[in-house]
Amino acid sequence: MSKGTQKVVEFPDREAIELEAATWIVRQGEEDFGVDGAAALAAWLKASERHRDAYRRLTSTWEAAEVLRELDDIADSVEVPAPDALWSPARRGALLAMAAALLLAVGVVQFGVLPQRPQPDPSRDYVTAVGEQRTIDLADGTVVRLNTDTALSVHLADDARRVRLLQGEAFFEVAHDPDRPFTVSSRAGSVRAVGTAFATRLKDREVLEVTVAEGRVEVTFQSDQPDLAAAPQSAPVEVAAGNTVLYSRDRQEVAPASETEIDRKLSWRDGVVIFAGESLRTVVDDVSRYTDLEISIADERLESLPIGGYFRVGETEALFESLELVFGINVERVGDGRIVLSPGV
Amino acid sequence: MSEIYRVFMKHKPALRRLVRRHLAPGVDAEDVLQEAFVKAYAAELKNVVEHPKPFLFQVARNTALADLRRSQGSPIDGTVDFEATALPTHTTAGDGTEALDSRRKLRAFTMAVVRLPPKCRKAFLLRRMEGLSYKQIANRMGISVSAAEKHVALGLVRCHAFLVEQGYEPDEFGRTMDGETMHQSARPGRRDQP
Repeated sequence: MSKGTQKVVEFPDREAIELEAATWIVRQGEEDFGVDGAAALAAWLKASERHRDAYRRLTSTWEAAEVLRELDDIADSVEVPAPDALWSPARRGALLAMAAALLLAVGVVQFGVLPQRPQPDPSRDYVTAVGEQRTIDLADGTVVRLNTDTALSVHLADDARRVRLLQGEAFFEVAHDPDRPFTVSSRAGSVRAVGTAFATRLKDREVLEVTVAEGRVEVTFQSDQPDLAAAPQSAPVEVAAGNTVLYSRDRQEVAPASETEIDRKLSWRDGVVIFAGESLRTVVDDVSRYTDLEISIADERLESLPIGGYFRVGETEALFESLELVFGINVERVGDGRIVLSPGV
Repeated sequence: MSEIYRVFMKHKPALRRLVRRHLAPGVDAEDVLQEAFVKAYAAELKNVVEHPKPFLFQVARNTALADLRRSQGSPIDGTVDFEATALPTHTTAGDGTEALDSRRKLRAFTMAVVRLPPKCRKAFLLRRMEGLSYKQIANRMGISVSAAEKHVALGLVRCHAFLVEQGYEPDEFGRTMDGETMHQSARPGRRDQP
């Protein structure tokens, strides 16, 4: 096949991907997008690096387009003179008075017909691809940091602030507002806070891990899944800063954690995953969250090898390099995105 | 097509000369021109411009004068000038950079939006400027909800392509949402319109 043919094929392909990405992005905030939409989007993102790239770039543009709202205010501040009044100060005064009167009339009419401006949709979904991290500022002042491969939906109402963690991990710095409790719910349980900072991670869809950095939160089993909601409820667990909780329907483990441990658990917020003697198995499981590569350990004896150091999100190659150089592990690339770790010679 | 845009493209050299006459040396006439266009176009979106040509020239002149006054650092004089108070093209201390960047961003997006096909543009503005739902857009335009979504999605792709072509890096834009600083390098290309 000639080079020319390849070029012809590639261009429309890029446009098609961008249009698909745009179709996801513009629908994402819609009410009917929901869990199904988020799952379908996640699958689409997972399918290809090019999908993720287009999605990321177009999302930036979409969010930046918010600036167009300013056009509305600008229009109000631009004075529109009649052409013959352009250079005549006397007529200009009269015209301004007329304009003011007109403005009043328009104001009254608008008030009667349209009692309020359309508000931006209060519900929104946020998704990150594998290896992507993202920070969002919610309208109430809460800051949310999404880790890799995460999906959550946010609903801010007058009396409550609700977040559903569909998958993955997120850190919340909750803006203090006692009148609007802040709840993060998931399949495995939910966390209630008024103003504090904590991380939630949904593990294997069944276990919710909560790490509290500041203040205190209340963890309850209140699944957002109808099939589980009817299950017997266990008592809420109150958790203070400096603790981690593993929570599911039949398991509530609150464990105190040292400051260093909390820092380590939350280090992903800075794009770094720190290990302090965890087994290679744990390291591989954790790093796998950030990459599409499928990493396997060929030899059982390697699994428990303690690993220390840090992994910078996105720099999977550097990790393999240190596994080889520092830990003497043999890193083998097997065809399509598969990595096999075996004992070095 | 937007009348203001048509006039803008047709009389750009004359507008540029007008703006240059009023500007301090060293100030980029292109920035001021675009700023004037944004104001005039914003007014047109509200259907209040009956005579686009004199209006656009007037706005361009006011914008240039406001810019000059600001760059000389003189206090705003006795006359109430909305252009000068509300619409900085140059900013000074404090959160100035942010305002400047936001204004650049708005200019870039306005130039992108105005080039969209009519229905696409209308749907995109109803969504992104007025914040209407797709259902409301569909009602307003007499089209189906899915058609409204398609127009908006296509608008996004085209705006994106235009911005990239102009030398903007949309990645840099998005970061302001993340509370990080936008890079100063995110500037439009200086080339004239075809």
